[in-house]
Amino acid sequence: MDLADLMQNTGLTPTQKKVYEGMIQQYAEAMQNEEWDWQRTANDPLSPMIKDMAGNILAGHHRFIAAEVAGVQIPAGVVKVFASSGARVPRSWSEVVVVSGVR
Amino acid sequence: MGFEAYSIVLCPNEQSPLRTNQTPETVQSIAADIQERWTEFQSDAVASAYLEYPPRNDEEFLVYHTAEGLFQVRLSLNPRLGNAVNLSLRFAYCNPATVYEPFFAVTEELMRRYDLYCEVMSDFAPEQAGVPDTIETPDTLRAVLLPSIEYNRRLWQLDSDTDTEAILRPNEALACFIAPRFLAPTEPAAALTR
Repeated sequence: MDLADLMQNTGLTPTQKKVYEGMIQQYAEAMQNEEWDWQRTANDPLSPMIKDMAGNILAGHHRFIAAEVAGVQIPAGVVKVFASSGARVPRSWSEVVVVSGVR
Repeated sequence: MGFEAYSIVLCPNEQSPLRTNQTPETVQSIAADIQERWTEFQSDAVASAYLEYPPRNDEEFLVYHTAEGLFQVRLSLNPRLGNAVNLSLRFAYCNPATVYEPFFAVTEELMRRYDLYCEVMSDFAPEQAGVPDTIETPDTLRAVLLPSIEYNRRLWQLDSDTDTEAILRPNEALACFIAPRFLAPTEPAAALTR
């Protein structure tokens, strides 16, 4: 999975060093099959997708990536914007390691 | 696995019984085994109830919840990798530091019991530059994880602007400490993601 290529036009920047491929594929499958509950993601304070004002992802890396893998547009109002910059240093997508789960 | 929680994934080594051709029943059996070994574990009804996708029979959610703190275990099959079983463990940084001991103890024993290695998903502290992300044996687990946990905990305290401790799940920590600081939703749909 080439994250730099996949995420290049999203305007989003990762802040975590690894993502788990199994989770991305599972989420992407649900999104592709229209089984993902975007209303819940949007309205449930327990499962927010969060970015800061600069586009740095604070929570929801797997879901942001899965949406791109699935080729679906994240509905309006789903992504929450944190009112200040996060403390974590932003990375480039090419730095993010995709963990396969077995060696 | 976000900025609110420390996260590791335990994956099977080549000789592990969890390596290939596992079934949903294996996942359920390991979950039952964990609950039998540590009575502090229960099925995590909250995690199951808040899924954004249809429930799967190859996934189990457990929670360890005591006065020491709370951490979650997610067991799942990875069908794209020969149906290996993976175990993800995580805890919210707002938990008291007393959660570290049971988190380490459970992780070490799971690594021994099922012949697993540990992938550290969260960041290392700057002074840990060069430390491999993969922990091969349980003997070195604490020495690697502890500085990393403390570093990430400090970042969480900066982000959340509080060092308040609370025994919460990661998503409960977000709702409690981060959601009050969201901007009002004014962006048009296209600007949200692109």
